[in-house]
Amino acid sequence: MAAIDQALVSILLNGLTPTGAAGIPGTAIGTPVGTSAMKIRLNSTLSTASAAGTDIGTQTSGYTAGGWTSLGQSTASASGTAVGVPLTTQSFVSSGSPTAVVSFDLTGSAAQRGFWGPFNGQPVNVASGNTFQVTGGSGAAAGIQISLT
Amino acid sequence: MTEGLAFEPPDEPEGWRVLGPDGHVVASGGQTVTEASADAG
Repeated sequence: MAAIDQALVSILLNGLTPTGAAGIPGTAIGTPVGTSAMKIRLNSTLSTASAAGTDIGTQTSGYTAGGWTSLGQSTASASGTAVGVPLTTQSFVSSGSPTAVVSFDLTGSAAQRGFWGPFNGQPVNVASGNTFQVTGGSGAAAGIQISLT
Repeated sequence: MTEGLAFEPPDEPEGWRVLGPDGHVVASGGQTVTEASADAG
């Protein structure tokens, strides 16, 4: 199952194939996820290829509606390797509402969708006062691996 | 007691974890790998 937003699929395909006039590459790639720092949005429902899940919303601390910020600069892909996110470990202290984390979306700063995925073992129950953490690191050490295969 | 080779499960990185207020690990999960397939033909 593809874990990439369908609109982004079309942008990538159109930018890498002769879909432009007279068979030139399309110009669709542009900056589909903006030019500002990206976010990891956490959802209490499952994201799909068409739409993000329901944002868990602002928590007691560490997470504001819209997503984690200050992810850090991930190690760039080379020769097709996956990109690991986040570079910097992210966490929040749960308010208890909602009680579960189900999926994430890697978004632009203005909520433009890109890659998404369910967390292993979802729904991950995070009781009020407990901390949910996604491991940061360089490359393969990061908790979320983004790849195109 | 016979000493033998200790079996250690693969050292799989944790992608996420839930910590209690005192910092102990309540739950954890493996890496989340996001993949998109490109099919030719």
